[in-house]
Amino acid sequence: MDNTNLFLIVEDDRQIRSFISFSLKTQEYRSIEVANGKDAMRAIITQKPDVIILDLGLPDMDGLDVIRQVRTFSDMPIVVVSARDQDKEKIEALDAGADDYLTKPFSINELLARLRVVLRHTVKSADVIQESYEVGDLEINLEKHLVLLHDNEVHLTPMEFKILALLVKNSGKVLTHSYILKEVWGDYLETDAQSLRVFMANIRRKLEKDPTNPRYIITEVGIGYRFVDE
Amino acid sequence: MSIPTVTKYKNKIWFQALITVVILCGATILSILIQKIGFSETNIVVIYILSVLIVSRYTKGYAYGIIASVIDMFAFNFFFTEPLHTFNVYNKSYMITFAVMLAASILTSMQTSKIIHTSAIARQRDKQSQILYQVTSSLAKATSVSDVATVSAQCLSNLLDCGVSCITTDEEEHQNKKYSIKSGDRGVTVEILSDEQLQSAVKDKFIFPIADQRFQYGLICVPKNSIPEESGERKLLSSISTQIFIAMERERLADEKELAKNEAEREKFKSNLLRAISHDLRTPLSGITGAAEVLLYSLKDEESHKLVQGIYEDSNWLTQMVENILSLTKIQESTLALNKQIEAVEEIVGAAVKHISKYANNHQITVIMPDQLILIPMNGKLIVQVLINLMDNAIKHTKESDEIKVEVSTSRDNVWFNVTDRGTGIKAADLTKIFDLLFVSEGTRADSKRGNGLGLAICKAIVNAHGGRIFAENNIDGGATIRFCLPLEGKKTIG
Repeated sequence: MDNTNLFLIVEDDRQIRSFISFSLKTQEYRSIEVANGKDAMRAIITQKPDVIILDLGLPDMDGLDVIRQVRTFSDMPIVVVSARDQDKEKIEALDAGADDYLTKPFSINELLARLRVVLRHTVKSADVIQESYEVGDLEINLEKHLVLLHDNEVHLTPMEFKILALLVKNSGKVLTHSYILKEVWGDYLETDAQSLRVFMANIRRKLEKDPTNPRYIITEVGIGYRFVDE
Repeated sequence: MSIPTVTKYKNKIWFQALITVVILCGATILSILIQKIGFSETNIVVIYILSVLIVSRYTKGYAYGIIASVIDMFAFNFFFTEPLHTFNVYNKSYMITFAVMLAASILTSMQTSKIIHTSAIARQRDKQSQILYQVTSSLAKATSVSDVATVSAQCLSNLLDCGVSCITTDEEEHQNKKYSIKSGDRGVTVEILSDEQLQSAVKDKFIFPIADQRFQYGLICVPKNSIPEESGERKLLSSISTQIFIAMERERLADEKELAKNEAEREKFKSNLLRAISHDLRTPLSGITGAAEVLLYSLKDEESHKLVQGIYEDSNWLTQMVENILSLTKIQESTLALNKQIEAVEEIVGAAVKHISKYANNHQITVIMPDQLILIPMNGKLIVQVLINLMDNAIKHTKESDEIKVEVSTSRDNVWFNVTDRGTGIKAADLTKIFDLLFVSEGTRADSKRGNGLGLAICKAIVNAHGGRIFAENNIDGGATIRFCLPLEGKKTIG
């Protein structure tokens, strides 16, 4: 992994900003710190960071607007940081194109783990689109529509496979309920959220040893699902 | 005879009898004159019937009219039929005349009496409704209980033309107040009565309670001699006291509403303040926790490491408390806007267990779930928090390596969640109290583990907001179970 990656920390609280940058330094990453949205936009354009760590509550502009503006010209990974009671904002941020989110207060280990996943993805997406994924005892071949668990084939309905494929292609990333519904169903109604839960339960029963302690598909309550990365 | 004198004697029996006799004599004299002039007997019969009518008009009741009819018949017989001045009759056809005359007189007198009676009632009713109207409209203008009492004393004093007192009782302040007005006076005097004074104030008075089946606000005291025994005035007075009751009730409810409003505003202010403070604490706490964590990984010196460990743990604890306060104020404020969604129970339990496993170093958490998928409407994040709080509680009260069991089951209307530990259990006296806000058990280990009495209170608030219930119980084989249920299909249950 390239440890000279440049991180942009956008956070108005000095204390939080400094310990994030300190912990990035311990991993020998480089970082730039800014305290507001305007400075963030300037830094994004002039310094071209590899990853943005973005607090949603900025003094001068909405963090969401930063994401939307960045997404007009770049795919650079954005990890959103927000307070616990800002679920709506989190979902909007993810739907606007953020790659992951963290809830304050977060542990440094968690932040670093998320950043590693995001970085790995930027490396991957540079490659050709992957055909097969291997996680733990699970092997998924998107082209052959094949799912193997412990080398035994698992039979999924077309819809189940479609959902699984979407999650796997975005492994490590949180997909919101509405994003999955839009991608798989196309048009959707609010009531389809229930069918999504049912499909997910069926997939888990086929893949997971213990559906309440999932190994592969993690529930992000109130937000969506995440396929594990490793 | 002047009119007041007539009114004064009007109801006396001898006076009415006198009227009857005078009229009958008059009729007889008139008839004799007519006979002398030489008009036919038919006119005499008509005059007698007219006399009965007049008697009925000016006397009370049926009796005088009927007696007059009979006397008339005999007078006609005595003075005008052959043989004169006897009660014998030669011409038997007079018998028919007598019978018809008697019947006509009696009927006339009865009708007249009835009409007079009815119109008297109507007049009385009219007067009563006038009075009631006056009382009601003055009561409507009153703006407090004491105002109502003053107005009612004035109205009743006007109406009855005597001294009246209205005594109000205040249950809360345990105080009796007397609003009295003397006959012919306009001013109302107010005095506070002790219980003994109250006893003497109601002595020898007519008492009209201002009350319904549940509440009593006071009494109306009227001198005994001011209300005639049988009259409708008592009825009127009791309906006036009902009006007074309604007015007082209205004032009481208005006061209560005002009080509740103030209370709610104070509550709101308090929770806003609490929330503002908690909110402002959150960011610096994140900073402290994060910085301490970074230091934890970088400090090698054991002394310092220990100190930083302390900072880290305490700031974590504070953070948790602040988050708890924020959730609690939020739930208390927006019970109706829970933002429920259909969630799969297994996902919720899974998320809670995954979160708690980070902190449950050596505790073993077992999950028992029915195989079938359970979907119920809930706010997923809040229920996850309930489960986390319950498991966290279980971890705090058990030894390391103890098992904590989370069990989900369904009944006909509910989904049940049980969190069981093998710890020391809950003192029987505390079983119902542990969900109270800020309750901390006074047990032996009170100082060993920090609790702030918020965790379980939040659980209860969240579960109740979902229309569910939460209980604590001790297991037969040791340890405690906290169980809560959520309604299936989002059916609202009350309580």
